[in-house]
Amino acid sequence: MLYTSDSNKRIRIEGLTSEELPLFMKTVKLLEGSADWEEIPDGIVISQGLAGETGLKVGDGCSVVIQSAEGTINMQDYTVTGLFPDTSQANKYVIYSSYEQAKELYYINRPTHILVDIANLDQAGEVKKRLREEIHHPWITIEAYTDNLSTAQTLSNINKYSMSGMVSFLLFISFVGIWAMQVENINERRKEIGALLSFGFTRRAVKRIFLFESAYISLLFLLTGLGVALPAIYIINVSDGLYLGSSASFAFGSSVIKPEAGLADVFTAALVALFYPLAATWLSLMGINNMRIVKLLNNAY
Amino acid sequence: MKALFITIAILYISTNLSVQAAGPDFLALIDKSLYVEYAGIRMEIYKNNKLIKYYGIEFYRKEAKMRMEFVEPAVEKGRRILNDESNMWMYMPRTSKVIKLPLRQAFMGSDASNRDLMRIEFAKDYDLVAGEQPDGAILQLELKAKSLSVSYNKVVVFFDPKRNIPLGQKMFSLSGKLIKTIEYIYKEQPDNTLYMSEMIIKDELMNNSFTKMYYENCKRRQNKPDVFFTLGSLKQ
Repeated sequence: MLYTSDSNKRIRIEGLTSEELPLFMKTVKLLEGSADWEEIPDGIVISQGLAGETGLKVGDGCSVVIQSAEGTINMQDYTVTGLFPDTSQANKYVIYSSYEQAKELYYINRPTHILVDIANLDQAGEVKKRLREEIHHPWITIEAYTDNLSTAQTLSNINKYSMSGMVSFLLFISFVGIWAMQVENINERRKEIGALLSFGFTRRAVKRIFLFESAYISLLFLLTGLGVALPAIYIINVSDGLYLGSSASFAFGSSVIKPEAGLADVFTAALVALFYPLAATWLSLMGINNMRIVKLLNNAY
Repeated sequence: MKALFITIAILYISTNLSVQAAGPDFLALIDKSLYVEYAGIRMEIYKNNKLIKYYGIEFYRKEAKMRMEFVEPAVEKGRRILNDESNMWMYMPRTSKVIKLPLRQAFMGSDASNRDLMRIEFAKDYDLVAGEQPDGAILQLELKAKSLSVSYNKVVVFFDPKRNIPLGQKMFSLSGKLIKTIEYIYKEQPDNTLYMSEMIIKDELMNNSFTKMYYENCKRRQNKPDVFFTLGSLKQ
């Protein structure tokens, strides 16, 4: 538990070794302060979300109380030296300190990290089983990365399929909308169509006019859309992502989104933007086949 | 000079050991004075000096085994907690399920942990390492945990040697920081014995956060059978 003078929060404390700290700093860009624990050995880095809930700022003191695996309670005072952006509910309540401080707090001499090389990751489960047999303590839990893999996979799949479902629904709705709009367009220009047919234009030629108009508008809006989206994506990536708040992690898997737009994405967007409305327009033009010129000229149905 | 030095050393050591060597078994006295086999308890939890929760509990004990049955409020009635020496269990009447409780967990959201209330055995868990009487009346006994499995590495007990009862205690973490204080208030029963009537547990890390426990109808002996303190009987 992290204690301030008037609040307490359940937290998880992780100690970073001197080798892990540079990697941590590279991955997590601190919003404020630093993680220079050589100068301030009792320093900790907390999330912006946790700071907001507890009222802590860089330079403030707090206390952390833990109950070790054996059962004894230990408490240390710490100074907040930095704030990091929390990207999910999972890391909102994680605080980082130096490895030595964390080990002293937990008062434990057991190994805290066991690394399995990447070529043998499938052995992680076996390592976990043997470790559990060796340590055999009711309060010590051992997790292998595979324990969380299925959960992460499930969440990722839920995210992917629900997004796909939403996009499919929106595409269907927009197709119906474009078709309806073109039908209305054709109805409003019945006299014009009748005049063209009476001048000798074939029905196919009249359809081509509408298709060309649709393609022209689609291209215009495709270029406008790309002109807005691509610079925005570039700016977001240059700024190390867009922070949407800790709740956004439920929808996007992370509170910070970093969209990408490769050639395949642009090509897909172009395909959808050009041919999708053309397909809707073509469908709406089916009605011209049976239209009688006299009725069209009289604007009669 | 040498003789003077040895004399001073002997006097110093004997003064510090006098509490253990010549005095009573304080830890046994503390355990004995706090030992009741039955009590009706009203527990009140205060945060920022405001009462936020209360519970009415019937407390039963036989040696190291303890059992609590909640009678108030109505939403908690029927809930039971058992300490069968090895583990703590809670029975929830609505779901008819029994769950295992960690000793470290706060007891029903109060300032006491499950261990604080359900495993109070000073003689078993602590060694008396020092004692002093700064104001002449009350003894300050410094206790050190025998192992790392005990929650509080150091406890200072304020002991009344005239009445042989603890008046309070301060509990410290492994790093020596004060975590909690407990104050005991006693009432004399018609049989001239002293029973604890009130226990105030204060969380030293949170301002204005404390738990009060009022004890009544305390009995040193009760006649519940051994099976009453088993896991099997919890659901019945």
